[in-house]
Amino acid sequence: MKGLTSDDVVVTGLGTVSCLGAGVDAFWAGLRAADSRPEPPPGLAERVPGALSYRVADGVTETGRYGRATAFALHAARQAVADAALTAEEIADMAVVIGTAAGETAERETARDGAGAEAWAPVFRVASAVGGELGAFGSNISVSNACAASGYALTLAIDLVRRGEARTVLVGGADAVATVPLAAFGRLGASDPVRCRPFDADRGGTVFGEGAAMLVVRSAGAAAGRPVYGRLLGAALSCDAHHPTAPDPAGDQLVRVAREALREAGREPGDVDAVIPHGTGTRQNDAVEARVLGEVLGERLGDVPLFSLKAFIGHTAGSAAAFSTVCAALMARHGAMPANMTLERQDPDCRVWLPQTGPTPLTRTNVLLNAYAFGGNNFSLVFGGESR
Amino acid sequence: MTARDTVAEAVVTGVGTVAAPAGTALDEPWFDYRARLGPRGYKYLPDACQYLLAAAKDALTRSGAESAGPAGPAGPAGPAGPAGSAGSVGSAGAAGDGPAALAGFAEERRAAVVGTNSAVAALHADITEVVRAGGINRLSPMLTPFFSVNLVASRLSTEHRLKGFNTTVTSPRVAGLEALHVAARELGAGRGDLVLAGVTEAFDPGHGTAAAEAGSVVLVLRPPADAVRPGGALLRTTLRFVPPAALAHESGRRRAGREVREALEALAAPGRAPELIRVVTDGSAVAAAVEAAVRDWSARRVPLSVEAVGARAGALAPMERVAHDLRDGAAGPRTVVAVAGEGNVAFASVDPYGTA
Repeated sequence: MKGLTSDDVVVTGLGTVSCLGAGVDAFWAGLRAADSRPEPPPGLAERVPGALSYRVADGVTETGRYGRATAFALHAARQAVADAALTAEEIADMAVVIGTAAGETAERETARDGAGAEAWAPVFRVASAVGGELGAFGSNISVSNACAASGYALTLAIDLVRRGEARTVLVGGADAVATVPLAAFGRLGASDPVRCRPFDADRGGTVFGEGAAMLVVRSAGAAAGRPVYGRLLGAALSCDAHHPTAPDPAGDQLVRVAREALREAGREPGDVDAVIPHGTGTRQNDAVEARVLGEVLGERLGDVPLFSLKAFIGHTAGSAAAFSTVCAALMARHGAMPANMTLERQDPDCRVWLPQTGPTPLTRTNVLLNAYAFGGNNFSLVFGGESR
Repeated sequence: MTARDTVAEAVVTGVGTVAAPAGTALDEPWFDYRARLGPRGYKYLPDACQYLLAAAKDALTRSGAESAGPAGPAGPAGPAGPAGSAGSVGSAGAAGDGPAALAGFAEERRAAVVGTNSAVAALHADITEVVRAGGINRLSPMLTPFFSVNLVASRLSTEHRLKGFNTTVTSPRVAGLEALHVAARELGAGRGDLVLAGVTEAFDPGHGTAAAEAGSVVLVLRPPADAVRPGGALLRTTLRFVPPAALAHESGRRRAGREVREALEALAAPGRAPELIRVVTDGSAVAAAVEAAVRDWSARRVPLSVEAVGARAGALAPMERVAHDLRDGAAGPRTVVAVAGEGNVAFASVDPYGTA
């Protein structure tokens, strides 16, 4: 890869586990096939009537002594490390930063039946377990900013590399469907009874997915001579400081976070070739995000294709931003954006371009990614793709 | 290969705490939010959120930050303004309440990083129980959103208009020190000018054989370029990880020991060896290995105190030691090391006369 500077943070490995299967090839094939649908989650549907989820099929990962989220993370992490062709020494020196909204909450729910005499089981041990299983002695950080958790993890990973704390970071997110978040979203009236259909006029909320997405990111020096997918050009964080669950309708902090990511990336709105929005399917989120994109992209809004990833894999909570980044890297590798899931009727208040035939060719891949979370925790990133 | 720069630095200008009185049964109500926060607006918050808000209010009140903030609109800040009345981390300043203490900082340059393991464990247990017993319509619409653990810290942003960023970190038993490290790292990266960083924990009904924790510690942090004011301190942090399985092999044990010794060496500024190191262990094999390495490094160097506090269901204990060191009027740097059997190891040093 030409023209790298010492500040550059490059992506050299990818891994995923999702309802589309295990591995980035299965992930990409699933996006191309566009036939995923949510189902009632086994064992949960009777407790949370009408609940749906995009579930990882049984048998895709072995859970062993870990919970499902950790098992997903381990599977995806091993893929990413293998893809990056890291040496044993590089793995031992590697930092690990993983975002998870709920950690092993599901296992806690089950354990409550026999709670009492057992040793305390930390809910948020996904990053620890991954670092432990891989034998990574570097900084190990668990981030739990809900649906933006892996975005916050990505920002931290960038800063760890740029500040010299680590030369190689395994970064990503993992979450598994559990009763608590499903019940909470149901109670808050934020679940769609049909499927996850962001920007559709009839959307009724989100639908959870599950899985893990992992990336190996490295300093330009550490990655010298290795194949790369692209660069994490710039990332930014902001907080609405407005409401526990609803985005600030003014969208000021969403505009700011996107512009700061572009500024850090050294890119202008005119340089954005594609957007992977947060796009959850909740009424407020999609409407506000569409307006925010209009403010950031200006008159180019209708010319920049959006890829609505959650329509394929559901809202994967803490791993959502990592999935978006993996998706951007694969779009760069393939030079194309898959067709979006077909919308029954696009919301006229969401005047974004969602190509529903395709794929859409991309000659450049400066991709703007967004992830927003409860608590008004916002994240944007600019990924700069390269042909691998 | 270049050496890693693993140490993050920040200047502490205030510390606030909420601690249960000794002997308190943590699963019973013990905290009076009305007395610490006010009569309205706090009733329907989880315990951990109330503790956090109160500790932050305390920290801001004790901070001299109100006179040091870079004035002006949002955006990258210039140099700090003129120093005014020096705040002390050990005594309440005369600066009034939290928002006044933040007044010199643009909202977009204020931030928070909070560590927790068990802030919403009780709420999760309640939600699970209610859903099993009667269905989701019986869930409280006020408390249910807090199922998402980051809402505890996010409430701090709403309270004090912290719009820079708001990060929640959750590594087992070290999340408080982890929050200090992440906050210092993000200050160093220029993502903010003032960060409230700390820990909050609430009673975890699933604490099992570990001791439950409840309370909060919050520090007010500024970039390391700031001068340490009287009563303040320079904070230095670093993180390590000891894969538990590595301890089964001689090479892994050697690596673990080397990592710990290098962390302590990196943390100690030239000529500023710590006067005291406290290791907060959890009785695990990883903790034993870390403790041995700390003893090895500190032999004939510092009076080493190893606190085997026993397994705790949270990340509060190490931060309580940091708060104690900040308020103790120590003459030199003091270091706290927190260890989790899962492999996480976090180090924090506070130095009242340190310079970045």
